[in-house]
Amino acid sequence: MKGNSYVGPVTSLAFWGEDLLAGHGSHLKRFSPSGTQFALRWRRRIFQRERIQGIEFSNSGPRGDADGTAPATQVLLWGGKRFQIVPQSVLDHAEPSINCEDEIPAPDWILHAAFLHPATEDKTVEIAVITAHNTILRYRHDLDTPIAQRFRFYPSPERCLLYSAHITVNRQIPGSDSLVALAGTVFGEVLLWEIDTSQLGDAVKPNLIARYLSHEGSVFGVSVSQDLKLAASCSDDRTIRVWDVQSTAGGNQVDGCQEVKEPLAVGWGHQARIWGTRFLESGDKCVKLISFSEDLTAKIWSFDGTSSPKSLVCVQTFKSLHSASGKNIWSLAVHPDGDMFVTGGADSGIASWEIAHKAIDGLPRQANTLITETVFPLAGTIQPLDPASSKRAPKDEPRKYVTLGANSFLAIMSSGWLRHCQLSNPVGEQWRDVGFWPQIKNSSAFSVGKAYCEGTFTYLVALGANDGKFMFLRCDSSGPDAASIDSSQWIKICDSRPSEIIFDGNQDPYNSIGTYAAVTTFRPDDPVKLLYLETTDGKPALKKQWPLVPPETFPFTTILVHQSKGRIICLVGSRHGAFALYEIPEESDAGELKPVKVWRHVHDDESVTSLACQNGQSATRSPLTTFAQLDIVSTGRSGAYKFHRLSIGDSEGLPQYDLSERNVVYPASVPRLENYQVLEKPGVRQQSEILYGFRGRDFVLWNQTLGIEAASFDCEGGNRSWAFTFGDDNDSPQDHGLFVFTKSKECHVVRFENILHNPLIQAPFHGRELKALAVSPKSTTSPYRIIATGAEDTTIRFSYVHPETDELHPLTLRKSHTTGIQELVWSPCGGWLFSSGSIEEVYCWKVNHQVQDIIDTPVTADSGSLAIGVVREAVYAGDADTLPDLRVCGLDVATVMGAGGDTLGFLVGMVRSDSSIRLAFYDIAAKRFLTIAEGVYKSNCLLQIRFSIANDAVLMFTAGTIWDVTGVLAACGITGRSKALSIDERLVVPTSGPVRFLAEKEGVQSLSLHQNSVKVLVLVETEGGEIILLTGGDDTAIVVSRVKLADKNDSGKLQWAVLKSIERSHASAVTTITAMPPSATEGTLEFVSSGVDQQVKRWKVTLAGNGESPMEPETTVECLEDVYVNVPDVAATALVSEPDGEEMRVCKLVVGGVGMEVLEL
Amino acid sequence: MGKSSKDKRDSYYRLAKEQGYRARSAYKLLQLDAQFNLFKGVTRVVDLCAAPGSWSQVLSRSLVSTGKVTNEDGDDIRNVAGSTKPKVKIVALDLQPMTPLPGVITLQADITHPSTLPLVLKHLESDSANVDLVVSDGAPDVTGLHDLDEYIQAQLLLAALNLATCVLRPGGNFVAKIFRGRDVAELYCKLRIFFERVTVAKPRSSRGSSIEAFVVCENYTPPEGFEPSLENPIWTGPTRQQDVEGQIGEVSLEDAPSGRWIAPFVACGDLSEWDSDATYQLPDTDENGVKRVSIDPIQPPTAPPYKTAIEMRRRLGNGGKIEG
Repeated sequence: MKGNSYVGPVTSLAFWGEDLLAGHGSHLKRFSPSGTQFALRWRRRIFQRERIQGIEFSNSGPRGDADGTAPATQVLLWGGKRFQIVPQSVLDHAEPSINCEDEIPAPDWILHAAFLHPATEDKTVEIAVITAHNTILRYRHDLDTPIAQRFRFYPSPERCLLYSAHITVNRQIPGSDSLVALAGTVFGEVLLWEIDTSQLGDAVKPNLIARYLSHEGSVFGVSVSQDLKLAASCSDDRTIRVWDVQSTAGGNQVDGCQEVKEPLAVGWGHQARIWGTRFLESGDKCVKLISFSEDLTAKIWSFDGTSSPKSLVCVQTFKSLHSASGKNIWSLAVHPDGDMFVTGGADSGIASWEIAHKAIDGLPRQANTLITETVFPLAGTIQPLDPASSKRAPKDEPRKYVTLGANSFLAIMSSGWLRHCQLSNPVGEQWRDVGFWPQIKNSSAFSVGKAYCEGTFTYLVALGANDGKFMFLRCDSSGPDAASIDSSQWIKICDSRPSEIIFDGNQDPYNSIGTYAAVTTFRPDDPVKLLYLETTDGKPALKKQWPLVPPETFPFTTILVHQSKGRIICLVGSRHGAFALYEIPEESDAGELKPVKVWRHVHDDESVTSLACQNGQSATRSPLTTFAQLDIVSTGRSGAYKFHRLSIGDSEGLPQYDLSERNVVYPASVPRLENYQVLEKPGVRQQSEILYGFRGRDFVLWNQTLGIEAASFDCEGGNRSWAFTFGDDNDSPQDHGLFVFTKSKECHVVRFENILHNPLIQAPFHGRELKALAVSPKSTTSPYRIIATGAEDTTIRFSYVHPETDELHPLTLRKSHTTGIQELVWSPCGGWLFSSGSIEEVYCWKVNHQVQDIIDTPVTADSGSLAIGVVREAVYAGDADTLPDLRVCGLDVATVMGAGGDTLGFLVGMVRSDSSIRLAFYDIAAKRFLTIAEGVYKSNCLLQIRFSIANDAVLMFTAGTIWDVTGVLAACGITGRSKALSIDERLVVPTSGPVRFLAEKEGVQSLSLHQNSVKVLVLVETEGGEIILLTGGDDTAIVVSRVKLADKNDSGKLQWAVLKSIERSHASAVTTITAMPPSATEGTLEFVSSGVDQQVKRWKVTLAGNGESPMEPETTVECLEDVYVNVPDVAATALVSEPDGEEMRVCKLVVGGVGMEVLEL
Repeated sequence: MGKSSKDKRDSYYRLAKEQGYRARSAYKLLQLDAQFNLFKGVTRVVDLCAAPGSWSQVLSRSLVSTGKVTNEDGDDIRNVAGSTKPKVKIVALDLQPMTPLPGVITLQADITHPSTLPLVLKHLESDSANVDLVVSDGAPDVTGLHDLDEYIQAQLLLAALNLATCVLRPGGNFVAKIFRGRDVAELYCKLRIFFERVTVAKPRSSRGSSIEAFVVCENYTPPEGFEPSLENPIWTGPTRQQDVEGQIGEVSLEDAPSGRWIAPFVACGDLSEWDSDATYQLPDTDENGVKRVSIDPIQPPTAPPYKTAIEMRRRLGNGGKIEG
């Protein structure tokens, strides 16, 4: 077994010139700038077991240049009790050769290290390390040999335990070899001491200069300013304290050591523990430093050295690029230019942040999303056509906006003026009056659609007047030409005042000869007019119209018209979350049209805000003549965006309409969603899903593909007049956006640039430790196995392992659970996933493999079109008065078939922390759980449940106990047949409630297998109709036991015997066992186990043949392999198989805990 | 310990309050004693990292007031000594100040500091190592970096071991909290050098989901020629030039073939006792039909290090936002 890829905490980061080095587990990664992003150059293992916790360079300046005039750099890496020194020549190689066995052991934990002397002629470097016992050791290392000579021990001024330390050679005094150490103790003290390293004799005495006392908890980080004048410490007490380390005045002198109780400044503001700080500036006038914390933020602090009292003020907070609901930023590095920095999280993510916009060669380095705001006090500035007609200046204000791409917009004024604003680059604007019509005073029926003409599109602006007439204006982004407007163009549409005109959400250039729009009025029962407009001779003309009768309580908010082969359908979304479908006849004289189907509560009871065909689905793909499928995406103020499949078919001459959900996502950061778009970054074949809407006072642009907020702007909420569009690719790029809104009767214009900017150098994974891991079973619909992972951060992530690189590729994530995930189980067919958490949460997820056009993941050459749709189909309804701590610790799922062999649903077994067991039937047609049986074991917490069906018997194994639940299930109509469950007639749930089963009943057998909790239970069904049980416990043992099933005619009990108990199989709790597929050799069984000791062991069990005493054969167990994984708290393992010719071959083992490692078998 | 809704769920938490213990961890020591009979014949005991003092409470209740204070033959020493209390000495040490406990000598001291040893011996009224039992329930601030947390915990344990080697009589016992992580086998191995029997025990009152367990080291038998010292403690990093000289590549314990040894495991606490991982629904009324009320904790919770930070945030208002 060999570790091939890793996701987990990023524990160290350092810039090396423009390049970035990252310590990721035991591996060093080198990233180089590529365009506006960083690209991974290589990844090399540095240590056998330790994680890289620190990186230092021998030269403080930039690395040696190509012509070799500058000295080459050595890089010192350390972690735990190990370090390694790698010369630049190795790191600059495209395929660097670094051997982790060359690591150098230290006698104690290293907290920091520094170069004393860089490589000299004889290629010898000298370094110093400071250990967790406040001791400095000096090493001489010959770069040609992998052995370092540890040759100098310096006595510690105070041997205490440290959480943090920093050592620097004091270069302030020329020629000095003085080493300055700053140490943060577990008791909240900061010690400053110095040692003269030029002396080699025994007489060297450490000089304890100062003791800084004021922290109220352990000191987790210390740093020193470049000029060695200031120090900063941060602590468990959530503060940063800055100390004057140069001054010797103040404080008490105790034995020559200064005791300082008053820091120069204290900074408060982090919500959790602070792990480290770095100085950005430390001039006389201004001091700036940056901190990173457990609370997932980095903060910049400043204090003015002259003000009094000196307080450290947080001037900037950087947040939300690391996995939300996670914890801990572990590392941070500031770019040498000081304009950006990077953070490494516990979530495996590396994020880049811009401190200040700084152009380099005219281009911003990071190209962050830029946000600029302009305010136009339009109110009262517009005069009516004839100023003489009114003595007083009329009150005027912007009423509604229509955006035309990202550089231009139209505003309709309350006075009846239509104005156009052209935004030029750099920020500037040009206002122009388009026209004045008194009848559009205070009109709200004002919108824009797109009109296609010969492959290019133009805008189609619809202007509704209060008398029910409309004017349609065709224009490009420079707005309608005032001169060409003919006032006779007003067309009567409705009898009363129109409230809105809604353009077709389907804006597909290849599906549009004309444009559809719907006109609503202020009378809710009036039919809605559906209009068909065509542009002829450059002028829009109304060709057809149909009156649509709205269903009850169905105010239209959005429409989608699909036309194919003469059949036209119109799907409508309502303000109350419903959908309605209309069949539109070819001709418009068919009278009032009623909906053919209404679906209520699609978006709960909240407004449907957008409807579109998914990813420009064209008509040719789904001819609507006889049978059709249309994939639709909708957004709603419920906070969800959904992919639906609308199926139209015939059944005995009657049309059938079916709407099913294929993918449902609630991006929690945008609780009020307004629209969904797939954007493509200019010049990059990479698409991103962008959603926009409102969160509280903010307008938010959310990048679903990256899982980050692209931009947000405080507009004081969405309940005001606003408009937003992305660039139209004509005169503004797609990844720009324009947001116009009214605030205090003023027109505010906000422009967004580089919306698709990707600040993530490395993608994030779970923000906290993983608790459950399940690989989807072999599926006919997907070549990839999908890995579902559930973590303490309450999210379920879906990913896959790339067959060649073994890297984990994220697909999507769902955050619906409100508690940490306890267990995940796939249905045997791979179509459903069941998840459990605390407070009795059990969810059923429908997982749609290979959903076409779903771009829930970056489409790269690697992932191809692999995408999945995930819908939470049902929630298990628990008891009303659930105990707040009731965890559903174990789950198992078995398929239940009907008489015809079709899958009806699943038997779902749940075991819980109050010792109760629930059996439920999950009905896939009704999409609901039905509790069919329940029981209570004892009073202990139950952790495991597994079903087994054989010889017509249905057995349920809970850890250490076998239950014969054949009768219980039969009472509900479910029977076991050979190896499957089936229902002949129908499911029976007694009216008195679920069937109760008792632990004392016959047919329940218990065998004490372990001393303490059973952490894992695996069943292996053998050819001979026996079951081998593999259990692993907290007691470090693995027990192999065998259950022989009673024959059909044998009324005797089950025979159950322990074959082998492997005591002390691991150094600590065994938390996971995975059985290998059946081996070719009969009577043998292989499995893999792992546990908290981070060892993965592969075992082979040889079962003796069925001799005289078949239940007690001589069983032997041998450990075939034993490897270390860099995943603390291993919680689960799973095998991944890949196609190997015709066969699927098991070849990878995924190990999950704090991070994840993929091992090649 | 606070007055919280945890009352309803965590049975040991509730039990501790009902029985007047300062922390639920008291039951861990009680269950360890039930399994290993640790208190038998014990008259001198040192409790390290003792705050808030629940283990000292168990020691004082078991050894002084009510417990089995027996000699080697099982006779109750108290009866032998008449009505006067037996000469039981309990010394509790912690860096944090600790509320005094009857029958317990509480000292505020650093267990790694050389000056602590004479202080302990003075209070034991002894000039030699004659302690029967050393216990330590100390744990560090857990950061979330598992390797670091495990290292710091190991250093606490080794510091406790160093002090124990200075005060234990041959044949004495040592009990300490251990994190069963990746390098635990190395620690077991180190302990086995000093004790005849090393067992790792998990009391039922310790959560199954926690990596915490307890090493029970019985019959202190130091290697020949071993000189205990707090000046040159063993395995807590180099303390002298001779500790570091020479080429690296020396055989350290962890690299030696015998350097990994796994202690046998014993689960302790009766199965009829509460399961600390289970969820219990305590009835709203007790067995006498009296409505259960939330019990005030025996001792208010120790001030967390971030207490001032919370106060600062409250004072500043603005939802805790401090930046302008």
